[in-house]
Amino acid sequence: MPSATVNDFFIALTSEASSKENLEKVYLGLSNFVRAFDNDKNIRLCLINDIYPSSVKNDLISQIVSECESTRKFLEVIIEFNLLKSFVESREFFLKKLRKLLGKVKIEVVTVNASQKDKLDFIKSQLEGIWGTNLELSFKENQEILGGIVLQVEDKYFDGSILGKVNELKKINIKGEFNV
Amino acid sequence: MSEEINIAGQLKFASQHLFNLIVFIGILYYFLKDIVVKFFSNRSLKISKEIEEANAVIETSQEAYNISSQKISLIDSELTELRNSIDLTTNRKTSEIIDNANIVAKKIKIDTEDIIKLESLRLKLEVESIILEKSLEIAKSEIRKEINDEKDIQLISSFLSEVKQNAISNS
Repeated sequence: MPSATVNDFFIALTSEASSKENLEKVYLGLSNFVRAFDNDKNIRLCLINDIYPSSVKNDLISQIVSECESTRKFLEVIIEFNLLKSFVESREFFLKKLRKLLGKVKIEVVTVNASQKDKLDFIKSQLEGIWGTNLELSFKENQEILGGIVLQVEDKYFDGSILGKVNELKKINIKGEFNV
Repeated sequence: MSEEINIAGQLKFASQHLFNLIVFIGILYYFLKDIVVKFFSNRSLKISKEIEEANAVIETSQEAYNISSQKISLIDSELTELRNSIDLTTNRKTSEIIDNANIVAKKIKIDTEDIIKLESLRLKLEVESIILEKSLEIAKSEIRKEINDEKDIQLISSFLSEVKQNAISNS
């Protein structure tokens, strides 16, 4: 008899949360869970390790995903069916699927200075002009890029940094010709 | 007169003894003639026989000597052949070894030339790479000095316009 997969439970979750508002809650809940899982080693160890009883894991999930009942139930069921590892391995896939349902685009922006509000607003307005207003934006600072901008839009990578341009010059040989 | 009688007596006595001696010799000759002749005849035969035996031994020895001489000359010729064969084999082997050594030396020479070419190319590329790295480091340093917020925003704006154009053309 074939057992249920994470995808089956995920489809059930998204079907249950039919309204966009509910889907948004589910997405936020799952994003919070993934963030906590990625950033906190203790949470990660507790959830993955079989020596901890389900009740402890469920309590932990309740604390992380307190706002969304559906997400909490989904995670509890996944733990009960011993599918947490599969979900964690494909977490980005499921989050991306939810973003697609919500019409949301996740963009990670890297600049030399992430504290200049004017610049960030300008970038935000420009990005909204390209991918719409439903964006999940995050800004990161990296002095190494020298200037310009690096974008990670879902699976696509756009390098408009000076470092990227400089690195392209590495393809040129000493005579100024492009290496084949 | 008495002296004459003595001489006559002495002559008589001598002639008697002479006669006795002749008789004695005649008797001896009569009795011992065959024995002596036989003895010397036997002795002569014995010596002849010994001489024949000696001749036979000499002939046998001569034959043995001849056979040995033939064998020695055969061995000598075989040795000469063997020596020639060894010389021939040695020369052939020496020639083969020298040829092989020459082939190996040529191969080593070609390989060494290739290695030198590759190494020089590698070193050239390494030097070029180092120069390029240094140039890029200098360029980065210069850019760091030159870049300001205005230029950065211009750069971002230009890049995002490019991205927008691409997004429009792709859609």
